[in-house]
Amino acid sequence: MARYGFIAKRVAGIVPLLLGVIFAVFALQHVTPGDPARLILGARASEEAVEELRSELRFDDPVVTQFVRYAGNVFQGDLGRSLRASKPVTSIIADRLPVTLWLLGAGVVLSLLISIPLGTLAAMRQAGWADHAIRGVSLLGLTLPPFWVGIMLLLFLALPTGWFPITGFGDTFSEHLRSITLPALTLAISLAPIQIRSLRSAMIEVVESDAVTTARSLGIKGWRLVSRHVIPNAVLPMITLLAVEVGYMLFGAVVVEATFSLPGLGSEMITAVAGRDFAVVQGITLVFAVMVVAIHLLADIALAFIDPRVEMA
Amino acid sequence: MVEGRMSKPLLIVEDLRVEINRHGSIVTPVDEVSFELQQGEILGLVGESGSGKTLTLKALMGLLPPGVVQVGGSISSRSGDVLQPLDPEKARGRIMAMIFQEPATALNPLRRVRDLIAEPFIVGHGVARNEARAKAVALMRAVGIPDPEQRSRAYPHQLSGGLRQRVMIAMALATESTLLLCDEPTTALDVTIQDQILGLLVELKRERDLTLVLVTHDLAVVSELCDRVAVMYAGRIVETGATADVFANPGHPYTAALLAAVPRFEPGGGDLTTIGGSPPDLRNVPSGCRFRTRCQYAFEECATAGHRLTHVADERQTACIHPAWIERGVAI
Repeated sequence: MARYGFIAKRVAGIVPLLLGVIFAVFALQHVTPGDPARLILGARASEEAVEELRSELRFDDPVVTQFVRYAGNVFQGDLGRSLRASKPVTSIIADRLPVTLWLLGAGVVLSLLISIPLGTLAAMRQAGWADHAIRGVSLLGLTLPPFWVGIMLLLFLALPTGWFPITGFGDTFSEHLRSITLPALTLAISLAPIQIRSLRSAMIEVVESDAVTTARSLGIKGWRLVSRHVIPNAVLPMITLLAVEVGYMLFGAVVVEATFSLPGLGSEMITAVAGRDFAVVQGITLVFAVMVVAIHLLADIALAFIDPRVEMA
Repeated sequence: MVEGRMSKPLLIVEDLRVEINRHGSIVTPVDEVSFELQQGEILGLVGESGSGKTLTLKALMGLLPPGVVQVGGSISSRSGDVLQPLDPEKARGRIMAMIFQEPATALNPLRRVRDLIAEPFIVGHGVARNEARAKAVALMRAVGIPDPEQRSRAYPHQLSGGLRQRVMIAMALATESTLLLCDEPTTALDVTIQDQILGLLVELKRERDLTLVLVTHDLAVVSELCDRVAVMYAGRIVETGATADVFANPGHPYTAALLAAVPRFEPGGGDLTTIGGSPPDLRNVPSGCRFRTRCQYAFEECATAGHRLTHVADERQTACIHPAWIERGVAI
C-alpha cells in the first residue's frame, strides 16, 4: 500500500512542474524578439495578413489571458493547429511520436547491450588491456558526432549490404525493425560510453564493497555472487544515469532522425523550426519535456522498488 | 589434557607474509607470522591499529583487498588426522567463516535478512529455499534476535547495529563452519551491546564446539574470553601463550607496555600511561626488533637480532631476546 501512496505522491508532485513546462513553452513565442505574427508569416507577408493572423491568434489579449487560454487548451488535449500543414498539432504528434519512441527504445536497449558487457568486463579486468581498450573505444564513441556516425553507417553498412533502408520507417513491424536498427545504433554509440564508465566504476566499487566481501566469506561465488550481490547494487546508479541521459537522448534523436530521414518528432521539429510553425514547435517541445519528466518519475519509482532504503513516504 | 589439545592443532600458519605494492614501494603489513590454532579454543589476536591483525585474518580467508597479496607462508588445516594445505577458496563458507567489524556495511542492503541468512544453506548445503528460510529463522532465534519471524522479513538498514551483528553471526553459523574468524566484532557497537555480542559468541562456541579467533585491541576482552593470546606489533607476532600467563608475566616489552597502558579505574583518577613514540611506518621499519626504538630495555644487539619466537616456557613464546629484563624492569 505504501508503494501506491508513494507513486500517487510522486505523480502529484510533478503537476506544478508540468505547469512550469507549459508556461515555458508558451513563453517561447513571446520571448522571441519581434511580432510573433510577423515572425510566423515572414518578412514578405503583407501588413493585412499579419494583422489578420494577430487577431485570429488573439495576440492582442493580455499575456496572462493568453497563457490561461493556452494552458486550458493543452489540458484539453488541444495543442493548436499547424499553419503549414493546416491540421491539428496533436495529429502530427500522433503520427510522429511512435517513430521517436521506437528510436529511443531501441537506442536505449542497444546501448545497454553494448555497455553492460563492456562495463562489466572493464571492471573485472581493471587496469588490464581489455579495460584500456574499452576506455579508448568509449572515448572515441564519445567524441564522434552522431550525425557523422550515422552517415558512416549509411555509407559503409547500409549501402554496400542493402540490408537496411536508407530512409523512412516502413509500414510493418519487421520493416520498422530494419529501419530503426542503424539509427538506434547511432544513438546507442553516443549513449554507451557514459554508461560504460558509470557501470565500470559502480561495479568496481560494489565488487570491493564490504557486502560483497561478506558474501564471498560465506562461500558465495561465481554467477550467484555476480547476479545476487554485484549486479543489483551496481545497476542502481545506472537507473539514475539513464534518467539523466534522457534530455541528451532527445537531442540525439533530433540529429539521428534528420540523418536517417526518419519521420519522427525530431525531424518534424527541424521542419517546423525552419518553417516558423510555432504551434508545432511548441507542441513537440511540450512532448519532449513531458517525456523527460515522465522518465525521471519512472526512475524514481523504479529505484524505490529496487532499493528498500528509499523511504516511501 | 593440555598435551592432548596441543597435539591436535586445527590450523597451522607458518611464516605468513603479506605485501602491498604501491607505486613500486613495497610494504609488508604481515611478516613472518606463525601460529597454531587448537581445536575448541579462543585465540585472541591483539595489537595496535595497523599491526596486521585484520590482514592476517583476511589472508587466512583468501579475502585480501585488491593490491594486497600473500607472498609467502603456508596455511594447513586438519581434517580427521591429516594436515593438509588449506585452499581458502574452498575453505571459505565450508570450514571457516568470518565476522566483520562493521555490521552496517557488511550486509547486502538490497536483500531481506532471511534471504541473507538462508543463502549459505542454499549455496553450501543444497537446502531448498523455503527450508533454508525456516532454518534462517531458527538461527535468528539461536543468536538471540527477538521476534525472529517478523524480523526475518526486515532489510538490514531497518535493524540496530547489535541486531545486524547478530545477523552477521547467524550468516556465519549458516555455513556450518566450525572455525569463526572474528575481526573486531564489537568495535562498531555500543558498549552495552559489546558485552552481549561477546557473550553470545562464547555461548555459541560452547554449544556448537566452535573454534574462534578474536581480533581485538581490547585487552580486558582478551583476558576475559581468550584461552590463548598472540600479540602483534608492526606486522609480526611478538609473543604468544596462555592468556593468564602472558598477562600475569609478559615476556615481551611491548606486551608489558600494552598492559601498562590499559586505563584503570582509580579513585581520584590516575594518570593515563601511554607507550612512548608511535608504531613504525611500515615503509621504514627499524632493523632487528621492530619495537626497539620505543623499548625502554633496548640493547645494541636488538638492532641486529633476527625475528624468532622462542619458547620461554611450555606454551609461551616470545620474540624478545632479553625477556628476563622485563621482570627486572617492572620490579625496579
